[in-house]
Amino acid sequence: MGNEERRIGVYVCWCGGNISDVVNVEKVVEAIKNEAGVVVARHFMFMCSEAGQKMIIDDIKKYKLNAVVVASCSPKLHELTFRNVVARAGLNPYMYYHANIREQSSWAHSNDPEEATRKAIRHVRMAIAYLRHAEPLEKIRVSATPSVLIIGGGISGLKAALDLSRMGINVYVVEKQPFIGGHLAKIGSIYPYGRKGWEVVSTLVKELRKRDNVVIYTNAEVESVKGFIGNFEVSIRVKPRYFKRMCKRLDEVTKVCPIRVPDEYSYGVKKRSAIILPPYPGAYPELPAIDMNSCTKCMKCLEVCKDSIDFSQEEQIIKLKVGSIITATGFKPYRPKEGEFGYKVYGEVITLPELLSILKQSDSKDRLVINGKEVKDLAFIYCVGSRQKPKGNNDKINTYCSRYCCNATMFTAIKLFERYRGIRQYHVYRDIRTYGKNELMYEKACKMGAVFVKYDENDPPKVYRNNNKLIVKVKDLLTEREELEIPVDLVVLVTGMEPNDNEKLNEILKLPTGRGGFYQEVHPKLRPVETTLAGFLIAGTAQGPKDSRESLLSASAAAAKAAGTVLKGFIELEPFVAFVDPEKCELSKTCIAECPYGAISVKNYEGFGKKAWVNPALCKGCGSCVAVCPVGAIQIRGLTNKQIEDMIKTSAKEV
Amino acid sequence: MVKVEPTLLERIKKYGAFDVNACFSCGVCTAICPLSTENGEFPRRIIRYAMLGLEDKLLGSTELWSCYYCGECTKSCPRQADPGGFMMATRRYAITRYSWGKVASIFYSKLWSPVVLAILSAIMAIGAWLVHGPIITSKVDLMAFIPKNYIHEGGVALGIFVFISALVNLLIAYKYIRRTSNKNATSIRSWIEGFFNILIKEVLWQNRYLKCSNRNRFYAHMAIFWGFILLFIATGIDYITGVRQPVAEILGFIGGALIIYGSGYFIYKRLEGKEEFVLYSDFIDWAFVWLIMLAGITGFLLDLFTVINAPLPAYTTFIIHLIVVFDLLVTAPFTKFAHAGYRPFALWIDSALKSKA
Repeated sequence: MGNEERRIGVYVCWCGGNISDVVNVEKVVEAIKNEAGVVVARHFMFMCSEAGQKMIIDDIKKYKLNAVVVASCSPKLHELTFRNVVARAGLNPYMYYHANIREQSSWAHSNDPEEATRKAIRHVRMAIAYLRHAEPLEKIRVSATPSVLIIGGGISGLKAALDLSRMGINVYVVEKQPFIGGHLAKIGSIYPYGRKGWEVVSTLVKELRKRDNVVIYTNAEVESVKGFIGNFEVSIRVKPRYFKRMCKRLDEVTKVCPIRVPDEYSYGVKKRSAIILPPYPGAYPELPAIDMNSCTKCMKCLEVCKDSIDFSQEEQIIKLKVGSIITATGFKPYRPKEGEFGYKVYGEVITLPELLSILKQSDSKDRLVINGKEVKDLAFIYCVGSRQKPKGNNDKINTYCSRYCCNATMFTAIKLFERYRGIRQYHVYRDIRTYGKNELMYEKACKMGAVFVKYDENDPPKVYRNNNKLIVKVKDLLTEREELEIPVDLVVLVTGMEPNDNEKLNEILKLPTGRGGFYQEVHPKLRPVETTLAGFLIAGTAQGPKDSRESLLSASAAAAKAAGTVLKGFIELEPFVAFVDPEKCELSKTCIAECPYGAISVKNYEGFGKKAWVNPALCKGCGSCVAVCPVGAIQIRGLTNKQIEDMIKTSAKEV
Repeated sequence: MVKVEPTLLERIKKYGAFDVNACFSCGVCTAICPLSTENGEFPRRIIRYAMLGLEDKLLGSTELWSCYYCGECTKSCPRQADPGGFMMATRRYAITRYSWGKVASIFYSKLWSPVVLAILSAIMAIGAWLVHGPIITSKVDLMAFIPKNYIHEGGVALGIFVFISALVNLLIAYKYIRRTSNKNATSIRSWIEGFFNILIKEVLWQNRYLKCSNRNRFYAHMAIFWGFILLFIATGIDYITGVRQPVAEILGFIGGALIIYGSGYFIYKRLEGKEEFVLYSDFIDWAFVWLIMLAGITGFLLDLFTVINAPLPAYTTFIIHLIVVFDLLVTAPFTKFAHAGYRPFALWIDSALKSKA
């Protein structure tokens, strides 16, 4: 506390009646106006109004106030407003305390006005007690490296990279797979306009290749992340491709390779050798890669492409400095369990991604042939792996809606009708959620003759074989639960999205996850791409199911947020962080072990020797260290022990 | 358990209902329908039967005949699926399926319907030519022109054919309704009560039609119905007494005027083509209203030529009149006219049977 006398102004807000209808504001003013330090106390209709703000500024000047309490709504709403008000009057903005007597008094106790009033008085007294010991604080400034790391080279990551690059920021993209492009590169036409997925990707790739401030690492994974917002030190591990230059005899070399494994770029519809070729036109990098998980090092490929293949290549560790990190690790399609709607039991039961891969490769224009059999009737079963109900065991379930699937299915339905005349489609669904403009696709699919059958989530359809047809047995909710038998040649399971397998990355980044294991934003509306970890942003389907349009939107949002962080060159943080009193500290290191953010280290203090030190850029002000310090050497700025003690004492005083 | 049958809807769509695929079963049609009830939910559920191909359920739905096609559903459909037009098309389809030997489908074929009507007309014309007596030009003597016994015997034969056809068709309809109905049979008493209930409320006074439709359409429909009744009575009096009675003259005059007015209204509405219930008309729908109109007009002219004593015009008109009435009656169990049987019949079954639960 400074030497000057504390002169506090207290302003009790009616909130138009939200507060004053329950809390007796006059009584509140009456009760606190003689508290130590209070110079002036008033109540007013709306403190946040122009007139209210002016009242505070005038009083600060007239009564030479050096601290202000406003007792009104939640600090989430107007704390910043009033900090700015006192700052405009020339005070330090942290010489302000916001007492919440609306949510915590008038609203919570609307049935008991007297108790509400007493509680409001206690709140205001505590605010005054806080300010009696408050001291002016400054925001913490840390410098920022003008570069950004993007984890994941799907459309979200690539779009964010392009946006950032255009703003003049250095971008590093890390992609786990040997080629960038993610899921979108694997599929043909996508809704709503029928452009090819890989075309969208290769457009982005083409643009990125023109930029000289973008570095893309494929076959690469993040190894460790250290540091804090503006100053991250990242190390990534890049696996070799074993191809040093292009080989002209790629067809031959893949034939000579004895390995055949499911090809992930066609969702397992095709088989590939251990040599992964660029999977789509315009793919990046253009060099093939050898998949060491399946390669047996028989070296037969060397006989064909001797000059291109180099098995002596080794892993590399690359160190980067970045100011912000965007995680865009995407999703994986839900994989039905064996036997789920006959999946893997009957060859004619496939997933939507598998169907799309087949359609992408199908040459026949007027006949859809799958497993050597022409498909004339097909059924889609919706919500497979989405909106699941608890099964009474501990199996992981996905309770969320995957958003994209209804739309993608409608689009596929239309494509099928256009391509294969006379094909019959049955859409066995729970709810159709073709939101927004996608509704038009639903309508079109209806008009083209798709038959929709609504099933009960508690009584899902069954798939079984009868002679050479598959039968989908389902009770139609839109009649009298008429039990229908639908004979079909193909059953397509409309599978949802699941978060990618990011166990290793999650251990490194510690990003908070929410519903269904996707990364969680701070607030779905107000801070939609930020995480609670400063400097870490999320984009695309890593955050939750999205379609490509929405993924690109969130990617641009994350890019803008990252740019906002690193472009200024510095970052301002709230000053409420822990600090060590080197005089008291005995270097027990309890706090270092306790800190969840790794913010505390040992530092040499002049005149005191080695003591604990809090890195203000890393500290979140959680207070764990304060609680564990055996000698009380560590405190939180703006929330010191003395302040808390006085607040508690005051709150216990009789009203 | 039933197998879905995707071709059913395509078959129904030959009779109208061209946009019904757009239906997504939201139920706005049912909500807005003034006649739909909790136990007789339509059009939504009926559309559903058609889409899934549940033909037995569809043809067994008495709801088909509860609908008077006011068009409110079509007006409010968010997908412009034209549920009212669908109900109409399904009634057309039902008429073809209920008829013995599916004979009615001939009348709903765009190609065969005019041909068959022409053949029937020709048969009647030739028949009249073959049996006609002396053509007396001094005064109008219709009884001499076509001897009474031919009218009598021809009329009885026609009557028997129409009656038996109608009966068989109704039995087929009954079979469909009973096969799929979720209702239980009740006592003879409720059948009798139901019969009179329907006869008075739905046939003679058609009060549900008033509930659904604008008054003008109700009046026109009532006019045709009562016009036929009066003409039937007038013909009966003439026939029994053997001479033209003044009472019959008056009843005939009123009846004729009523059906000309009624059919005129419907012809005008069909030509205007604005309101929902006339958005699509089959050839046989047109033929039906025009035949009624023609029957009325020729009836009048016949009287006129008799009164002013113009023998040749009178004989010609008589022949045309006979052809028109013959066409109208012989096709009655197989065309739009059949609704006069199916509608009260279905409503009767509905009122006589008790809901299961």
